[in-house]
Amino acid sequence: MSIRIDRDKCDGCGLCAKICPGNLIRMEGEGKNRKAVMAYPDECWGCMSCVKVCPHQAIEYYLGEDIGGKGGTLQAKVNRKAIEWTACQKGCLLEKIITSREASNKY
Amino acid sequence: MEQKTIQADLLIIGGGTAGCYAAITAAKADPQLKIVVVEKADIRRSGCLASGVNALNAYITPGHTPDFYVDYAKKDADDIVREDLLLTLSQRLNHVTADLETMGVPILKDEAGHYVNRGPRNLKINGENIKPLLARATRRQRNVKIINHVNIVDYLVADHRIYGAVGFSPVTETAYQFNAKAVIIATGGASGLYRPNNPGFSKHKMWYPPFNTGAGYAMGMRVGAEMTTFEMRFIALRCKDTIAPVGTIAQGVGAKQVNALGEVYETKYGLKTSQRLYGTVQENLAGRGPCYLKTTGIDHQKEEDLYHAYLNMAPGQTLKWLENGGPSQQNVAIEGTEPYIVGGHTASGYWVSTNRETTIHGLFAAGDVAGGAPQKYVTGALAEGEIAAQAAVKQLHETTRTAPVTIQTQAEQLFAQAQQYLHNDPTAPSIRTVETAMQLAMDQYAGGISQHYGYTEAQLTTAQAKIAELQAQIEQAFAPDMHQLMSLYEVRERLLICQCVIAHLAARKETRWHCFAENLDYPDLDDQQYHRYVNSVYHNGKVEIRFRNLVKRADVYEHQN
Repeated sequence: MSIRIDRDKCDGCGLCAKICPGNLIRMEGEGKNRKAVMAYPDECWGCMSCVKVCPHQAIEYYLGEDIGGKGGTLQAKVNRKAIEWTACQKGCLLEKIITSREASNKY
Repeated sequence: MEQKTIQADLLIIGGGTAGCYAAITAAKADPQLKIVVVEKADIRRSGCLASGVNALNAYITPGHTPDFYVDYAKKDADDIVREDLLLTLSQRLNHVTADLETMGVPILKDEAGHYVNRGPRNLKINGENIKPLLARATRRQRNVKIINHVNIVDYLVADHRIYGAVGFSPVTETAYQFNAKAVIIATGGASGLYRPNNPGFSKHKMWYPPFNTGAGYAMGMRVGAEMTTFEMRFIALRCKDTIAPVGTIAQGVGAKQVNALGEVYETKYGLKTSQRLYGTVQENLAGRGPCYLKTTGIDHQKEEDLYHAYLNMAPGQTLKWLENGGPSQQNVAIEGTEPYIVGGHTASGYWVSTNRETTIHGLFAAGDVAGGAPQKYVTGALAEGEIAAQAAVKQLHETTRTAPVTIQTQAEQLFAQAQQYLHNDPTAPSIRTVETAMQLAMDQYAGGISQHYGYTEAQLTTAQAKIAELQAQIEQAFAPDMHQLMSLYEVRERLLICQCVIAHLAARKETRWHCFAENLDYPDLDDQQYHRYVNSVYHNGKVEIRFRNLVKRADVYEHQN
């Protein structure tokens, strides 16, 4: 389980590199070519901090094949009140789930 | 390498749950103090709460008292707890919870405005954003300076008194010296000591943050701080593969633990934390595995609620369900994790006084590094941060000391050591190779998953010999950049903790907690000999064991030396 960064969507802001609790994301290149790179994909804890902080939804989360990953991905679009989660598999939408940031869990 | 020196009255190492709250408490107690929080990553998403938390599991619900919580934790750990620490922590649980709510953490309430309990000690919350909220409250304190992305590797100590710490950036070529009059250590427990459930690509998909490497324990050991109960390892019962929590399924939809034959087995072995795990191990050994949480047949609404709940704390589990079929269609397979050393769940950590001072003067401990007080969870870590901060501030007001000149020499030696690692022979065994060998040795000879958590004295002797070899190897390892330098220090820390764990496991010649310390040479409880603490001090490269009598609930414990 790890994350993938879409180079085309990345604008090089560096928020993900700053927030990663494992210091696993590195900024590479200069100017327009400055991009975030996942330097240590097998050291990711899967906390989703980078996925949530990215303002362009350029980062997606996936499960490694060794733990049952089948190509599915999870993305998050965050605003003050809610997180919109999008789960896809091979280009097809699996499910969209909106979790409120204001409501408590039922469980 | 560039060198920076930073002065503080109070230095807080680790900006997790306990560290942030300690900073807030100290800042409010004395707005004149210069407080510095130094953090390996970024306090907005570091430590155990990075991905969120689903409930507050330490709270005194109506009709109960702090003593009720102490009784629970004491029973769960079969008496090997510090009741003085548990009581002082329990007395603060509700007030820190109220404070969390004012920071913006949503807590479920009924129509009358009372919190809704999840269990006798638990509240339902939305904890997805808890860490950013705690970080914001910390940042708002004017006299708190937060320094992110600095990995502290050693204390500066003379005559058993602390004067600061030394660390390195994992990104830029910068070394830091922190000079401080008092220090609170609030780093995490230790993951990555044992071979994990999924040793391949997903090796870091573990219960506890893989970035919590036990730095605080190792630094303390190196300066001779007394440690306690490292033999009480923590092993979590988790959803297979994703290592996501099981409690939310068990408590949320009332799912029971069943074996492959569909029989409910949890009642057979008992409901203590270690017994739930032990039962699962025993069912597997008896050929009745794999074990599951029985979720098939839950209705659509409950399934959707589970998807939501896991997105707020362990999103991988929701993705796994979406990819492979949800819990209404198939039961959730469960397994035990590899063992961890973590003072928030068991009693391992620094041996502290009632006001959380360690045996190093001026060094206080809170949260997962502080021993003696298991079942802390989030609110217990906050409470300890508060206790430690109040005691540290009081000490700062009462005493002044200036650092001896030897402190500067110490700092320079530590910088030189880092330079050595950056210039070691690149053909030496790699940091990763040493780490993997350590995890394998611990797994096979110190009661890891492959051994169903059991060990013998003969095995522990082998484990110790292998760890000693690896300790020599890590000193020769090469760090090509600052990130790798951090990794090298992390493996070095873990090896030292392994040495301590092995010594403690060997010292408790009984089996008090199944799985957590399953001594196959001594399979029974021995209250006559071991109804006491196993403590240790690291001295001249050896872990020296000291037994200590249990501290009573009403005691105010102070260090004698």
